[in-house]
Amino acid sequence: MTDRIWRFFTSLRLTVVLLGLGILLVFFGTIAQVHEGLWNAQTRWFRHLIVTRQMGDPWWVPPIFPGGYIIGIFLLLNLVAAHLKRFSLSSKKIGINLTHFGIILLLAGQLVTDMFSRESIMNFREGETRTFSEATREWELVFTRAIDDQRDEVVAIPDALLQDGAELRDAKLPFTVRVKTYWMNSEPSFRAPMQQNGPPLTDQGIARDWDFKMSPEAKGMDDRNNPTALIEIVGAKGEQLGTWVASSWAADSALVAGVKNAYTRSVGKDVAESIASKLTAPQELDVNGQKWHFAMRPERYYKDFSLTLLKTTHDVYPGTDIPKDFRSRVLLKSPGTGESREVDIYMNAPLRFGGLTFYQSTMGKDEVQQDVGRSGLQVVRNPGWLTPYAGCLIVSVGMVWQFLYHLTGFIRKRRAPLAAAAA
Amino acid sequence: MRYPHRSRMTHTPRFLLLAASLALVMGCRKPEIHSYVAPRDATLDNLAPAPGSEPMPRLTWSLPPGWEETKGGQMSVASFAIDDPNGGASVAITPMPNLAGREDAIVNMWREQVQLGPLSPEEMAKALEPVPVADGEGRIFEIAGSREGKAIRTIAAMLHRGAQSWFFKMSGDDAVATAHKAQFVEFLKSVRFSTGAPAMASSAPAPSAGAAPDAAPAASASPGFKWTVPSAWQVAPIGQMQVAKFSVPAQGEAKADVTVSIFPGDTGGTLANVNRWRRQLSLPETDEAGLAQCTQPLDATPGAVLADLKHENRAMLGAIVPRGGEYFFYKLMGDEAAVTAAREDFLGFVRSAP
Repeated sequence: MTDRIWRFFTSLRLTVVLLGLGILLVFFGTIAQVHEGLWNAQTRWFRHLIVTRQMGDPWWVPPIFPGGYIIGIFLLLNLVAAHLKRFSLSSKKIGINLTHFGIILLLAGQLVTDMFSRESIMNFREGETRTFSEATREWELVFTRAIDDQRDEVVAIPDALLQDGAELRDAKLPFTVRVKTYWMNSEPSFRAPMQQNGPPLTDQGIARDWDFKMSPEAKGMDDRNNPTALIEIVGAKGEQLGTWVASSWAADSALVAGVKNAYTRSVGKDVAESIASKLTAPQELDVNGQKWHFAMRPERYYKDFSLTLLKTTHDVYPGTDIPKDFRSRVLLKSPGTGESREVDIYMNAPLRFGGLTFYQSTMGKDEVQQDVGRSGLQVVRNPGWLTPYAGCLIVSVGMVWQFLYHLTGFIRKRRAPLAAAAA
Repeated sequence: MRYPHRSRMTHTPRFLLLAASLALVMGCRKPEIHSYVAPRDATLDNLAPAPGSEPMPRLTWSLPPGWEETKGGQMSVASFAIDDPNGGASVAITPMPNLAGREDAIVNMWREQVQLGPLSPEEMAKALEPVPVADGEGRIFEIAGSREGKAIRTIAAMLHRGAQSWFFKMSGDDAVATAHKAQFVEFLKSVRFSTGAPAMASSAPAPSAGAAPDAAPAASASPGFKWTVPSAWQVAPIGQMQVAKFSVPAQGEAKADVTVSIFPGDTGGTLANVNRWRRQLSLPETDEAGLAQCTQPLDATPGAVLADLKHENRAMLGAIVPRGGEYFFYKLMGDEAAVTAAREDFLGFVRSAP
């Protein structure tokens, strides 16, 4: 059995089959972007072990097809196994070995990047300090409880667990969260006095003043889903503690500002502010004497250092809207290393600190205080960021070595008859 | 090219270790609930609710005999009907954003509604009397006037509490309101505010007491209007910010719709709204001087205006009517022929009490 597995993984036929499947996968995955959008197509075809046919797929989608993970991992195993089987340390093989090692490094690096890299956004306005960045696509339902004047205990439930009917428990929570409905994307509408004809989603919290309904899933790279969950809180003894709405619309300053602006146009500033404030009203549970707030917010990644946005600079070429220079001056404070320094982050000059890279991403004015600058830094964590450079370098060295080795052999062979003739 | 063969036994364990490692890496991606301690969140500071929008407290009260709880109005959290052989009266409890310091304007606004002039500061000081309301001291005042030849009286108390001002208003036939004033004052004393998450509120109201299930100015599911809708009008699906919509009879190809919206404020004033309407008809904006050319007072309703706009076979009649602290926006808009034909019906509809 082991012998057969070994032969399977060291087979060059497997390499050819996998490369062929890889070509087909790239083709399918590229065409699928037309219907599924870039993000969804990439996730479905390249970030899964197996791709299965779904309702609504075009006719050409096969019932089952190996995904990017399985093809990549099998290629990696195939390459490593072939090397283990055929490796020999000689000057003749050094080039080939180096080339193959470089390719292994590229494959492994891509896997590491895909599994462990993370992109997020640190969004703040001038004067604000941030110790966390936020995901651009992933959301979390968080329950927070004050443990002292400065700190909160946080229990975060990733959106991947928020499935209809799911019952979610955590040792820190004195209740169970039952997901009645989860909409990956949603739209809010204000329950204006005397306007609404149907009952609210629930008679608790923000749902008394705001309705939410499901929206089609956002598929574009620049589009974002705004989820809403209808959750039921159940006490430790099974008692019902109410049904609530947790919506991303209530916890994102940009979304709230958008809602406020939309209503300002139709009903004026004061009423719009009143309407928007009913969306952001805190929602609180009082269970066994503990007060828990909850919210649906972008998934957060906390750092052990802080950045304070000191100043934003946004210059454009005179007479145009074309950006000339936009940069953020931040104060970096790291209690762990004792660092406290000011850094300018601008195009092609990111801040690298703590295994993270901070790139200047967005810039504008604060939605609330228009005279205050706001900046968005893209925060990238990629433990495998060096592997493509190292892999390509090693492949290049290996190919050059192999070329030169054969070239010198060829020249030597050509010289030998000439030398013999001269003798 | 020939590769020298190596022993399978030498490499298989290492290979399997690699394969197992890859499988382990793949298995690490399962999402799970996690908890941690984090600095107090200041991210939503700028989303903090505006004054007046903090969570409403829960209200309880003792209901006087003869009072019957009715479905709350659109802005009120509770309302009651008083049935009396001499006529009728109603009581409503309405929260508003804190209006402390604007008592004079409030009293005068309500006086205007019964066609009474404003009070001087000295008269106002006498009119506003202290009264115990719940656990605090409010101000009570009375307004006696007439409507359609009938003597009516309003006895109202206001209490500024936190981010809200609470209005307790009894109005109806003069004789009935006067006779029930003592009960109304006792009712004010019996009111209790309690805080906490409504769902977790443990204090169930006593059988003789009532409670607002939740004191938010949310509307009931049923509009429940009492206005007089012309029989020829067809009810149409409402849009955003609208409370009612009707289609008026078409005149050949000409069609028009009536819409009604209600807001707790005047949404920028008459000029801003008329200009918004003018834009909808592709008319240029006007100024205060031009406003007088296209608007007129609407009958005797204080503060109510009627805008009459026409442009290229399109026309609009827009009415802004302040009622009980709210602003009703009526709009008849469409093809000119249909608007002209429905004009009188529209005006009758606007005048009818909602």
